[in-house]
Amino acid sequence: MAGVKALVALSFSGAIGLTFLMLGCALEDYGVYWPLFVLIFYVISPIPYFIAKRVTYDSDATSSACRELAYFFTTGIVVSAFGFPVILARVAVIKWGACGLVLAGNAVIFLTIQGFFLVFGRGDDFSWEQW
Amino acid sequence: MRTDWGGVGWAGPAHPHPGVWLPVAVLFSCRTGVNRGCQTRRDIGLGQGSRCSECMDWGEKRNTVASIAAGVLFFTGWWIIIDAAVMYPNMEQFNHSYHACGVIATIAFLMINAVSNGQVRGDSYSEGCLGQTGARIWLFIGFMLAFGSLIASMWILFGGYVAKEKAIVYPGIAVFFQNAFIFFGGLVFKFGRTEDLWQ
Repeated sequence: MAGVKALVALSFSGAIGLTFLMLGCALEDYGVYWPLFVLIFYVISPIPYFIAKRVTYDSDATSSACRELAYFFTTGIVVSAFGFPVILARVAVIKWGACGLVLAGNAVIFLTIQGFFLVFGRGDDFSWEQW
Repeated sequence: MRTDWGGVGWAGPAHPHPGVWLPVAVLFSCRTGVNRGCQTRRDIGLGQGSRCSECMDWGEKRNTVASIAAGVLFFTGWWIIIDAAVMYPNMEQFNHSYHACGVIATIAFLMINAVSNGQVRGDSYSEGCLGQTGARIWLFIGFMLAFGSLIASMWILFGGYVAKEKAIVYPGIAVFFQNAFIFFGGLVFKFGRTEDLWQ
């Protein structure tokens, strides 16, 4: 039952984050939709973790080089998602207010993804294979 | 707030505010799989429970923290140079050949971190194609490229911008910071992690 509550809370915060992102794009003061490309970063951010999880069969080790490389690339994707709107604002494609909204949306979305892994990633009663 | 866990006991049932402590307990129960080695020491000495859990968390999560820190440094460096390249696209303000410095720093990053410390010490299971000597030479060349790119970025900053008294110094500073971030990211990724956790 706790899983359902967590799922609802996480989807709520994900919706909040996407709302921030869309506000940064679609308010009539801003109206530039280039920041929507951070959606790509949202989608590809968990992929290194999944690859590392499938590659490393040795589960009794607390860490492995492959998993650390996955953390490295995930961090790079997260940093890129924050760097991209800043660059757009620096070259005056979008305004700094829109950049701030997109950054807030980034923070909320990545915390949501992180929360997803914290809640569902390690539970024994829930595995990705069920999907 | 952390110190009274040791006295009461870990997530003690007699706590007066279970509603407040529930999220904390849930958050830490997710991590019990990680710091399982700490349980016995906590059971032995209840008074040092919180301090023990802190040190054990750091030990178990050291590789993860180092990987994330290295990722932040490395990719922040590249975004700095992207910013400079986007802001000053023409050759007079930012010579495009200065990008070679960061590329060599990235190659050095890959070379340094492709060799594990165990291979250099010679206590790894597989010898590889060149063995310990090859690993040492590879690592030597990698560190040489890393230091060389860092020094070259300083040279670019001072020889290309400060000494010529250019109006816009920012691209030189960006090149220097890019190389410094990649260099320290490589050092964190190489020496911040311990290979004891791989066994």
